[in-house]
Amino acid sequence: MKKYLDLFLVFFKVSLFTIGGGLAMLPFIEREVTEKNNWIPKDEFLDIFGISQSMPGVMILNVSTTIGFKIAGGRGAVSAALGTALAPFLCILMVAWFFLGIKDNPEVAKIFAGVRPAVMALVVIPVITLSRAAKIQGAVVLVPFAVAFAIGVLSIHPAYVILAGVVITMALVFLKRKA
Amino acid sequence: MMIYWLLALSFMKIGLLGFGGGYAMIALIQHEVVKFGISGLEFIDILALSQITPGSIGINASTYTGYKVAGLIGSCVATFSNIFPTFILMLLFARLYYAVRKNHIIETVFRSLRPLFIGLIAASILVMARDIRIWEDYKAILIFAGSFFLLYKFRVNPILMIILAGTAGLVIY
Repeated sequence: MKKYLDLFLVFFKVSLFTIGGGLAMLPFIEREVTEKNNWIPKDEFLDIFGISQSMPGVMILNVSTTIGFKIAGGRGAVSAALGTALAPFLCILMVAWFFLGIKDNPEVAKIFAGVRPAVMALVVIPVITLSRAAKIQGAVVLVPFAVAFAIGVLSIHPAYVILAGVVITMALVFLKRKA
Repeated sequence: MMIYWLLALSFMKIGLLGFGGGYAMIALIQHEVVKFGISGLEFIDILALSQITPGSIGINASTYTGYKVAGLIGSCVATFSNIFPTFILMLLFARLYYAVRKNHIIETVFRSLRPLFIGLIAASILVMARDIRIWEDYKAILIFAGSFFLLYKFRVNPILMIILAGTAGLVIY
Protein backbone atom coordinates (compact mmCIF):
# COMPACT_ATOMS: atom_id res chain seq x y z
CA MET A 1 0.00 0.00 0.00
CA LYS A 2 2.79 2.37 0.93
CA LYS A 3 4.40 1.79 -2.44
CA TYR A 4 1.27 2.79 -4.33
CA LEU A 5 0.91 5.91 -2.25
CA ASP A 6 4.58 6.79 -2.74
CA LEU A 7 4.25 6.41 -6.51
CA PHE A 8 1.12 8.52 -6.55
CA LEU A 9 2.67 11.26 -4.43
CA VAL A 10 5.96 11.48 -6.33
CA PHE A 11 4.22 11.94 -9.66
CA PHE A 12 1.55 14.19 -8.20
CA LYS A 13 4.18 16.46 -6.70
CA VAL A 14 6.30 16.69 -9.84
CA SER A 15 3.36 17.38 -12.14
CA LEU A 16 1.90 19.96 -9.77
CA PHE A 17 5.08 21.97 -9.53
CA THR A 18 6.38 21.92 -13.08
CA ILE A 19 4.88 24.21 -15.65
CA GLY A 20 5.75 23.82 -19.31
CA GLY A 21 4.82 20.31 -20.33
CA GLY A 22 6.40 16.90 -20.24
CA LEU A 23 9.95 17.69 -21.22
CA ALA A 24 10.20 20.23 -18.43
CA MET A 25 9.12 17.57 -15.92
CA LEU A 26 11.60 14.97 -17.04
CA PRO A 27 14.68 16.06 -15.05
CA PHE A 28 12.61 16.29 -11.85
CA ILE A 29 11.11 12.86 -12.36
CA GLU A 30 14.55 11.49 -13.10
CA ARG A 31 15.88 12.85 -9.81
CA GLU A 32 12.92 11.49 -7.86
CA VAL A 33 13.03 7.97 -9.27
CA THR A 34 16.74 7.41 -9.84
CA GLU A 35 18.27 9.33 -6.93
CA LYS A 36 15.85 10.12 -4.12
CA ASN A 37 13.87 6.88 -4.19
CA ASN A 38 16.34 4.66 -5.99
CA TRP A 39 13.55 2.90 -7.83
CA ILE A 40 15.42 2.36 -11.07
CA PRO A 41 18.96 2.92 -12.40
CA LYS A 42 19.72 5.92 -14.58
CA ASP A 43 20.37 4.09 -17.83
CA GLU A 44 17.04 2.32 -17.50
CA PHE A 45 15.33 5.66 -16.99
CA LEU A 46 16.79 6.84 -20.29
CA ASP A 47 15.50 3.71 -21.99
CA ILE A 48 12.03 4.29 -20.55
CA PHE A 49 12.13 7.88 -21.78
CA GLY A 50 13.12 6.72 -25.27
CA ILE A 51 10.27 4.25 -25.45
CA SER A 52 7.72 6.64 -23.95
CA GLN A 53 8.63 9.26 -26.48
CA SER A 54 8.16 6.81 -29.33
CA MET A 55 4.68 5.78 -28.22
CA PRO A 56 1.58 7.87 -28.88
CA GLY A 57 -0.16 9.88 -26.20
CA VAL A 58 1.08 12.12 -23.44
CA MET A 59 4.77 11.29 -23.09
CA ILE A 60 5.04 11.96 -19.39
CA LEU A 61 2.09 9.65 -18.67
CA ASN A 62 3.84 6.92 -20.62
CA VAL A 63 6.92 7.46 -18.45
CA SER A 64 4.95 7.31 -15.19
CA THR A 65 2.91 4.29 -16.31
CA THR A 66 6.03 2.32 -17.18
CA ILE A 67 7.85 3.25 -13.98
CA GLY A 68 4.78 2.47 -11.89
CA PHE A 69 4.45 -0.88 -13.60
CA LYS A 70 8.12 -1.67 -13.10
CA ILE A 71 7.98 -0.96 -9.38
CA ALA A 72 4.57 -2.26 -8.36
CA GLY A 73 2.87 -3.95 -11.31
CA GLY A 74 -0.51 -2.98 -12.78
CA ARG A 75 -1.75 -1.21 -9.66
CA GLY A 76 1.53 0.68 -9.47
CA ALA A 77 0.99 1.83 -13.04
CA VAL A 78 -2.49 3.07 -12.14
CA SER A 79 -1.20 4.93 -9.06
CA ALA A 80 1.60 6.61 -10.99
CA ALA A 81 -0.64 7.58 -13.91
CA LEU A 82 -3.32 8.95 -11.58
CA GLY A 83 -0.72 10.97 -9.72
CA THR A 84 0.54 12.44 -12.98
CA ALA A 85 -2.87 13.33 -14.39
CA LEU A 86 -4.66 14.59 -11.28
CA ALA A 87 -2.85 17.89 -10.68
CA PRO A 88 -3.11 19.22 -14.24
CA PHE A 89 -6.70 18.00 -14.41
CA LEU A 90 -7.72 19.92 -11.29
CA CYS A 91 -5.73 23.02 -12.24
CA ILE A 92 -7.15 23.34 -15.74
CA LEU A 93 -10.62 22.63 -14.41
CA MET A 94 -10.36 25.68 -12.18
CA VAL A 95 -8.82 27.70 -14.99
CA ALA A 96 -11.58 26.63 -17.41
CA TRP A 97 -14.28 27.54 -14.93
CA PHE A 98 -12.69 30.92 -14.30
CA PHE A 99 -11.74 31.64 -17.93
CA LEU A 100 -15.15 30.77 -19.35
CA GLY A 101 -16.61 33.30 -16.95
CA ILE A 102 -14.35 36.19 -17.95
CA LYS A 103 -13.43 35.54 -21.56
CA ASP A 104 -16.06 37.85 -23.03
CA ASN A 105 -14.91 40.77 -20.93
CA PRO A 106 -13.48 43.39 -23.36
CA GLU A 107 -10.25 43.86 -21.40
CA VAL A 108 -9.65 40.11 -21.28
CA ALA A 109 -10.36 39.94 -25.02
CA LYS A 110 -7.62 42.52 -25.59
CA ILE A 111 -5.16 40.54 -23.47
CA PHE A 112 -5.83 37.38 -25.46
CA ALA A 113 -5.64 39.22 -28.78
CA GLY A 114 -2.08 40.01 -27.72
CA VAL A 115 -1.34 36.54 -26.39
CA ARG A 116 -2.42 34.62 -29.53
CA PRO A 117 0.37 35.74 -31.89
CA ALA A 118 2.84 34.99 -29.08
CA VAL A 119 1.47 31.45 -28.82
CA MET A 120 2.11 31.11 -32.56
CA ALA A 121 5.68 32.24 -32.05
CA LEU A 122 6.05 29.75 -29.17
CA VAL A 123 5.12 26.92 -31.53
CA VAL A 124 7.55 28.10 -34.22
CA ILE A 125 10.50 27.46 -31.89
CA PRO A 126 10.14 23.63 -31.78
CA VAL A 127 9.89 23.58 -35.59
CA ILE A 128 13.32 25.19 -35.74
CA THR A 129 14.96 23.10 -33.03
CA LEU A 130 13.50 19.85 -34.36
CA SER A 131 14.52 20.66 -37.94
CA ARG A 132 18.07 21.24 -36.76
CA ALA A 133 18.19 18.07 -34.68
CA ALA A 134 16.62 15.86 -37.33
CA LYS A 135 19.36 16.50 -39.92
CA ILE A 136 16.98 15.66 -42.76
CA GLN A 137 18.62 14.80 -46.07
CA GLY A 138 17.52 14.22 -49.64
CA ALA A 139 13.93 14.03 -50.76
CA VAL A 140 12.71 13.65 -47.15
CA VAL A 141 13.09 17.43 -46.91
CA LEU A 142 9.80 17.59 -48.78
CA VAL A 143 7.91 15.63 -46.11
CA PRO A 144 7.40 18.47 -43.59
CA PHE A 145 6.25 20.79 -46.37
CA ALA A 146 3.86 18.22 -47.80
CA VAL A 147 2.41 17.48 -44.34
CA ALA A 148 2.00 21.16 -43.47
CA PHE A 149 0.39 21.83 -46.85
CA ALA A 150 -1.99 18.88 -46.63
CA ILE A 151 -3.26 19.83 -43.15
CA GLY A 152 -2.76 23.59 -43.05
CA VAL A 153 -3.90 24.47 -46.57
CA LEU A 154 -5.96 21.56 -47.91
CA SER A 155 -7.53 21.00 -44.44
CA ILE A 156 -7.05 17.23 -44.59
CA HIS A 157 -7.66 15.70 -41.16
CA PRO A 158 -4.28 15.12 -39.42
CA ALA A 159 -5.40 11.62 -38.40
CA TYR A 160 -5.10 10.43 -42.01
CA VAL A 161 -1.76 12.12 -42.49
CA ILE A 162 -0.40 10.60 -39.27
CA LEU A 163 -1.68 7.10 -40.08
CA ALA A 164 -0.21 7.25 -43.59
CA GLY A 165 3.08 8.63 -42.26
CA VAL A 166 3.42 5.96 -39.58
CA VAL A 167 2.56 3.07 -41.89
CA ILE A 168 4.91 4.22 -44.67
CA THR A 169 7.75 4.91 -42.24
CA MET A 170 7.36 1.52 -40.57
CA ALA A 171 7.38 -0.21 -43.95
CA LEU A 172 10.54 1.65 -44.99
CA VAL A 173 12.33 0.90 -41.73
CA PHE A 174 11.48 -2.81 -41.96
CA LEU A 175 12.53 -3.00 -45.62
CA LYS A 176 15.83 -1.34 -44.81
CA ARG A 177 16.41 -3.80 -41.98
CA LYS A 178 15.82 -6.74 -44.27
CA ALA A 179 18.14 -5.41 -46.95
CA MET B 1 -25.46 10.78 -23.21
CA MET B 2 -24.46 11.06 -26.86
CA ILE B 3 -22.11 13.94 -26.13
CA TYR B 4 -20.05 11.77 -23.74
CA TRP B 5 -19.54 9.17 -26.46
CA LEU B 6 -18.48 11.83 -28.94
CA LEU B 7 -16.03 13.27 -26.42
CA ALA B 8 -14.67 9.82 -25.64
CA LEU B 9 -14.23 8.98 -29.30
CA SER B 10 -12.47 12.24 -30.16
CA PHE B 11 -10.08 12.15 -27.25
CA MET B 12 -9.26 8.47 -27.68
CA LYS B 13 -8.34 9.33 -31.25
CA ILE B 14 -6.08 12.09 -29.98
CA GLY B 15 -4.50 9.75 -27.44
CA LEU B 16 -3.85 6.96 -29.90
CA LEU B 17 -2.62 9.07 -32.81
CA GLY B 18 -0.85 11.73 -30.81
CA PHE B 19 2.70 10.83 -31.74
CA GLY B 20 5.67 13.11 -31.31
CA GLY B 21 4.84 15.04 -28.15
CA GLY B 22 2.59 17.93 -27.23
CA TYR B 23 3.48 20.31 -30.05
CA ALA B 24 3.01 17.69 -32.75
CA MET B 25 -0.37 16.87 -31.20
CA ILE B 26 -1.72 20.41 -31.60
CA ALA B 27 -2.86 19.97 -35.22
CA LEU B 28 -4.80 16.85 -34.30
CA ILE B 29 -6.46 18.43 -31.25
CA GLN B 30 -7.29 21.55 -33.30
CA HIS B 31 -9.21 19.43 -35.79
CA GLU B 32 -11.07 17.44 -33.14
CA VAL B 33 -12.16 20.22 -30.77
CA VAL B 34 -13.76 22.20 -33.61
CA LYS B 35 -16.41 19.47 -33.60
CA PHE B 36 -17.38 20.60 -30.10
CA GLY B 37 -17.83 24.23 -31.00
CA ILE B 38 -14.41 25.34 -29.76
CA SER B 39 -13.35 28.02 -32.24
CA GLY B 40 -9.84 28.29 -33.61
CA LEU B 41 -9.21 31.37 -31.49
CA GLU B 42 -10.50 29.76 -28.32
CA PHE B 43 -8.21 26.82 -28.97
CA ILE B 44 -5.21 29.15 -29.14
CA ASP B 45 -6.35 30.58 -25.80
CA ILE B 46 -6.41 27.05 -24.39
CA LEU B 47 -2.83 26.60 -25.60
CA ALA B 48 -1.84 29.81 -23.85
CA LEU B 49 -3.52 28.71 -20.61
CA SER B 50 -1.87 25.32 -20.96
CA GLN B 51 1.54 27.00 -21.12
CA ILE B 52 1.02 28.76 -17.81
CA THR B 53 -0.52 25.87 -15.87
CA PRO B 54 0.95 22.49 -14.89
CA GLY B 55 0.61 19.50 -17.17
CA SER B 56 0.91 18.78 -20.83
CA ILE B 57 -1.14 20.15 -23.73
CA GLY B 58 -2.90 16.82 -24.26
CA ILE B 59 -4.38 16.63 -20.76
CA ASN B 60 -5.11 20.34 -20.54
CA ALA B 61 -6.96 20.47 -23.85
CA SER B 62 -9.07 17.43 -23.04
CA THR B 63 -10.04 18.67 -19.58
CA TYR B 64 -10.95 22.13 -20.88
CA THR B 65 -12.96 20.92 -23.86
CA GLY B 66 -14.80 18.29 -21.84
CA TYR B 67 -15.66 20.83 -19.17
CA LYS B 68 -16.89 23.43 -21.62
CA VAL B 69 -19.02 20.99 -23.59
CA ALA B 70 -20.43 18.79 -20.86
CA GLY B 71 -19.40 20.06 -17.44
CA LEU B 72 -17.52 18.16 -14.78
CA ILE B 73 -18.47 14.72 -16.07
CA GLY B 74 -17.52 15.81 -19.57
CA SER B 75 -14.07 16.85 -18.38
CA CYS B 76 -13.60 13.49 -16.65
CA VAL B 77 -14.73 11.57 -19.73
CA ALA B 78 -12.50 13.55 -22.10
CA THR B 79 -9.42 13.35 -19.89
CA PHE B 80 -9.88 9.67 -19.13
CA SER B 81 -10.42 8.85 -22.82
CA ASN B 82 -7.29 10.74 -23.73
CA ILE B 83 -5.21 8.79 -21.25
CA PHE B 84 -6.74 5.33 -21.22
CA PRO B 85 -5.79 3.82 -24.63
CA THR B 86 -2.13 4.72 -24.33
CA PHE B 87 -2.12 3.62 -20.72
CA ILE B 88 -3.16 0.14 -21.83
CA LEU B 89 -0.70 0.25 -24.71
CA MET B 90 2.13 1.19 -22.36
CA LEU B 91 1.20 -1.57 -19.92
CA LEU B 92 1.27 -4.17 -22.68
CA PHE B 93 4.41 -2.66 -23.99
CA ALA B 94 6.15 -2.46 -20.63
CA ARG B 95 5.75 -6.23 -20.29
CA LEU B 96 7.10 -6.78 -23.74
CA TYR B 97 9.86 -4.30 -23.21
CA TYR B 98 11.22 -5.98 -20.14
CA ALA B 99 11.12 -9.31 -21.94
CA VAL B 100 13.08 -8.18 -25.00
CA ARG B 101 15.07 -5.22 -23.87
CA LYS B 102 17.31 -3.28 -26.25
CA ASN B 103 15.15 -3.89 -29.25
CA HIS B 104 15.46 -0.47 -30.75
CA ILE B 105 13.27 -0.85 -33.80
CA ILE B 106 10.49 1.27 -32.32
CA GLU B 107 12.90 4.06 -31.57
CA THR B 108 14.28 3.83 -35.11
CA VAL B 109 10.77 4.22 -36.47
CA PHE B 110 10.22 7.15 -34.14
CA ARG B 111 13.42 8.89 -35.23
CA SER B 112 12.45 8.39 -38.86
CA LEU B 113 9.11 10.03 -38.11
CA ARG B 114 10.66 13.37 -37.18
CA PRO B 115 10.00 14.98 -40.59
CA LEU B 116 6.31 14.13 -40.07
CA PHE B 117 6.33 15.75 -36.62
CA ILE B 118 7.95 18.90 -38.00
CA GLY B 119 5.25 19.05 -40.68
CA LEU B 120 2.51 18.56 -38.08
CA ILE B 121 3.77 21.40 -35.91
CA ALA B 122 4.16 23.64 -38.96
CA ALA B 123 0.60 22.77 -39.99
CA SER B 124 -0.74 23.87 -36.62
CA ILE B 125 1.04 27.20 -37.06
CA LEU B 126 -0.63 27.68 -40.47
CA VAL B 127 -4.02 26.92 -38.96
CA MET B 128 -3.41 29.40 -36.13
CA ALA B 129 -2.33 32.09 -38.60
CA ARG B 130 -5.54 31.51 -40.53
CA ASP B 131 -7.71 31.63 -37.41
CA ILE B 132 -6.06 34.81 -36.13
CA ARG B 133 -6.25 36.23 -39.67
CA ILE B 134 -2.83 37.56 -38.93
CA TRP B 135 -2.28 39.08 -42.39
CA GLU B 136 -5.12 41.53 -41.74
CA ASP B 137 -3.78 42.71 -38.41
CA TYR B 138 -0.43 44.47 -38.36
CA LYS B 139 -0.48 44.63 -34.56
CA ALA B 140 -0.66 40.85 -34.40
CA ILE B 141 2.21 40.60 -36.88
CA LEU B 142 4.25 42.94 -34.69
CA ILE B 143 3.55 40.89 -31.55
CA PHE B 144 4.37 37.68 -33.42
CA ALA B 145 7.66 39.06 -34.70
CA GLY B 146 8.59 40.54 -31.34
CA SER B 147 7.72 37.33 -29.47
CA PHE B 148 9.66 35.22 -31.90
CA PHE B 149 12.67 37.47 -31.53
CA LEU B 150 12.54 37.33 -27.72
CA LEU B 151 11.97 33.58 -27.64
CA TYR B 152 14.57 32.72 -30.22
CA LYS B 153 17.30 35.22 -29.44
CA PHE B 154 16.95 35.59 -25.68
CA ARG B 155 15.25 32.29 -24.83
CA VAL B 156 12.61 34.14 -22.83
CA ASN B 157 10.61 31.83 -20.58
CA PRO B 158 7.23 30.94 -22.17
CA ILE B 159 5.28 32.05 -19.08
CA LEU B 160 6.97 35.44 -19.09
CA MET B 161 6.40 35.64 -22.85
CA ILE B 162 2.67 35.14 -22.44
CA ILE B 163 2.49 37.74 -19.68
CA LEU B 164 4.43 40.22 -21.85
CA ALA B 165 2.27 39.59 -24.91
CA GLY B 166 -0.93 39.88 -22.85
CA THR B 167 0.24 43.23 -21.50
CA ALA B 168 1.11 44.36 -25.02
CA GLY B 169 -2.36 43.34 -26.18
CA LEU B 170 -4.01 45.30 -23.38
CA VAL B 171 -2.02 48.39 -24.33
CA ILE B 172 -2.23 48.37 -28.13
CA TYR B 173 -5.68 46.92 -28.87
